[in-house]
Amino acid sequence: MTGNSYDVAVIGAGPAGLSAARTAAAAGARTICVDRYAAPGGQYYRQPADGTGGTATQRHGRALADAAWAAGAEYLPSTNVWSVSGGLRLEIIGDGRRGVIDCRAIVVASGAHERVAPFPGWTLPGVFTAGGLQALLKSCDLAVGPRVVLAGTGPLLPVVAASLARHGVRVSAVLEANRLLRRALRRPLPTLITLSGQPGRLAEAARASVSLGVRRSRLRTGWAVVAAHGQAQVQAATIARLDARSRPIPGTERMIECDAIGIHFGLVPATDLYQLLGAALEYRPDLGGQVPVLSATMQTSVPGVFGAGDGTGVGGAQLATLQGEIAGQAAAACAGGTGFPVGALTGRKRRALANAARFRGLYGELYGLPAGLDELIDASTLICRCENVSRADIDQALARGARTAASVKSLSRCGMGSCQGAMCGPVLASLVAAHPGEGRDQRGPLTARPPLQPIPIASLLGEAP
Amino acid sequence: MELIVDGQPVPARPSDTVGAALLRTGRLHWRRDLAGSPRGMFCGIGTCFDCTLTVDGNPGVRACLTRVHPGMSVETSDGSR
Amino acid sequence: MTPAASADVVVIGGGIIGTAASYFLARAGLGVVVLDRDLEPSEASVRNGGGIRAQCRNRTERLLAMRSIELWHELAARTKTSFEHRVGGNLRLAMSATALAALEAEGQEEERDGLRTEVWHQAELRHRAPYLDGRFAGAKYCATDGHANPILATWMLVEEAARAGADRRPAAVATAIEARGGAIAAVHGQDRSGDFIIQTPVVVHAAGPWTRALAAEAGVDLPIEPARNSMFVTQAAPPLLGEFVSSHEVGVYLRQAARGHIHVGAVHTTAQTFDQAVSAGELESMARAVEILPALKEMNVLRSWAGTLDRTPDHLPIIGAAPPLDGYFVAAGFSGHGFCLGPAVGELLASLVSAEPARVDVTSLSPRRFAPEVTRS
Repeated sequence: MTGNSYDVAVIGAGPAGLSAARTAAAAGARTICVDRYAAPGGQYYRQPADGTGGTATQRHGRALADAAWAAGAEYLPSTNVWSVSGGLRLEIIGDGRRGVIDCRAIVVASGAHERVAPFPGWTLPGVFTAGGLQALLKSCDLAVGPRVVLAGTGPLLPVVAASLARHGVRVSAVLEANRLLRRALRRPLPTLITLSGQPGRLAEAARASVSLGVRRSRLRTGWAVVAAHGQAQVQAATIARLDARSRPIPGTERMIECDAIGIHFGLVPATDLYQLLGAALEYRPDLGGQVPVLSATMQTSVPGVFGAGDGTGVGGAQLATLQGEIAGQAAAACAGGTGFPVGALTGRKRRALANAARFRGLYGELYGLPAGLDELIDASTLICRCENVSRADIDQALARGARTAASVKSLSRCGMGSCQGAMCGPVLASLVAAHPGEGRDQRGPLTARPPLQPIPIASLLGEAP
Repeated sequence: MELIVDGQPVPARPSDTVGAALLRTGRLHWRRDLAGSPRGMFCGIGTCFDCTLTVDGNPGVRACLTRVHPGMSVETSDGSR
Repeated sequence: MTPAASADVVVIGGGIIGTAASYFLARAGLGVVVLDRDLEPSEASVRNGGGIRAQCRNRTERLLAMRSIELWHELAARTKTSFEHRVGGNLRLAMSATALAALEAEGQEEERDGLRTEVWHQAELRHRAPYLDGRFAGAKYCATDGHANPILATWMLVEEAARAGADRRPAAVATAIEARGGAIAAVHGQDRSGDFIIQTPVVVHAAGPWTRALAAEAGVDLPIEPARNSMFVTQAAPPLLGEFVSSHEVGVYLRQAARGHIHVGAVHTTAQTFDQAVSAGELESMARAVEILPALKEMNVLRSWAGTLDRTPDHLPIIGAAPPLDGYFVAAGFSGHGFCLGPAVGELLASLVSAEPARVDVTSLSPRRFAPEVTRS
């Protein structure tokens, strides 16, 4: 079992983690970046299969990583943090072997994962998250197809659709549940101002839309996949138009043959590390759910623990990079025993943060989770994929008087499987909160406990598996 | 290169994950859930645990995260979740 | 509708003990209010190893456990809710010949109380439980013992108590026990609506490790300490064993639950604390379970949790009236045995309160065993 001491440990190597590692190391802190994946970049800067070439974005991600290592940060890939304890000790596991990292300051930059919105047939093989399809494309040069339907809400949908189309996949439909134009026109001036500060994003979305238009895969707003069909795998999807409250309009259903469905309903920040560290969390639906309470210099409520990136509230790569830069500096200062006051932030940084925060607000307004989609979840639809817990099972727990996500989990087994509630947690919280009755849960996360990932018992004995 | 999946050779590229190699052969599922229904890959980034299989004797390994190596032995339908 | 301001009995603590007591008290026709500080059962009653056994106990506990097992079966038959009760037997392992001989002697005592157990020496143990590591000299096996899901079992009992007429007040904290002239008069408390007072002549105090502080304020000294006890759960495995297996020498116990997950727990508690965070060191200790079940070496730990035990100096519960405070009954300090004993202790408490003959003589478990006079003047 290896042990090591660092000034700053950064968890995650996406835009936030790489930036934090760079600025912490540049400030003179002995820095290590622990990454669950085999190569740096996280989701946003996921690298091509052989680590070379790729899009401008991917090259930018490589440059970010190179800058971090050049500044002196160490990189520990394919390693999971499965527990943290007081005095800032990380319990890690990689390749079946355990280790510990002791440090003076931590930057948690482990990002967010996809939110799921169940519908009948969503557990059929061939239903993927849009992010998962994107990961396969970027990392393994693999385009799932030949006919794909994309559905949900978020700017990721047209982006993934365009990528798939470029690889020769027939994207039969791109269904955005929210009526974007209608939502944007609710507050036209603020929307225009915000968008004008984000030329890069507009260009990307425009490129994606044109690309789709050329291949005749029109993006339809106000539509959704309401069911997936197939024997052992996806063979067709039923799609329907949604009313103003995002509920399917009877009579508008039609069936599309397809081989795969990619779904995306936004992102949910990962809070398990913050929970183990005892950092205070707050519920911010506009940011994707539970997020850590942060100071202006990215410090959580726990001294020495900092946060950056989508894990602190979904806001995209630009904001993540900025936050990472600040968090790395603040963490290095903390490890060195000095303070890092808000005044240390440059005016440019503060303006950039404000800009990015405004865009994050717009994102939330355009792509809010369509509440009416909960009605798609019929009694037999699974909520918990790992333990095969259906809507009916959850309703039964609620009927027995369970009033919190924790007790519904206890009675129904929802959230007790391998993913430990990562997939079903937000849906469970939503169903519990929607249930009439006293003492409704405040959408608190399911309690995180070690190990944060399943770990081999053999590794606890100090043996290699 | 080649993996041995349930005793049969399956081609793979060096930078593939086990999941990608299986998907590339057109195989969408390689596990059974508690109800006996087929499961394959869902989230693709290591958070959902749908894609687990046994790699070189170790059960519960996520196919979407595990890079292939020549001669890797993979068993599916292992019952671990 | 305002909640009742008076009751025949107030039970402080809505875990398995308090709930069982309220069930039997309600069935006896008494107006009983249960105060639980949590919204739902959240503590040791739903965070334990799930063992339901009568063997390998102190004699009084043995008799209570035997009665409890009868009651668990009755409850299962009466309700339609399953609590995954599996009568797969309890297996107490012995590493050395000396330890085995001690188990043998214990078996003879158990026989005298009508509890049938068998001692298996090494060869027979290998034959009966082939999944075990071969290092054990033998084991004592009790076929009528088993295990269950403590969450489902506790919730079932809460529902049965409600059906019997018990008035359970969740998120209600008892803040003071009021006595007048040496007799219980009322319980003061706080819930989501504010302060309340319930006039009552009888208090059953069954609040686990939280019993001591409130009892002390009422002038009753109870040597109960909190202690963390940890468990971990593996990912689901194919069926391997039906027995509840334990080894005090290795320091772990384990069972396979209904869906195939193997639950491993520490026999000895660790820190004397209310803190329920499981440490890496505790997980390492529990990993020694591979010395009992080698198949664990191929498995992964999925999650862990800890509960807070209420431990007494002799690791035996404190049950009984606490004179000279008239009408005050204590049932706490179960030191990890509360889940199994719950139903019988509940039945017993109802007898004590009603001044009726108790099935089991629990004089040896009285609060007075720690000091002749536990109450301060």
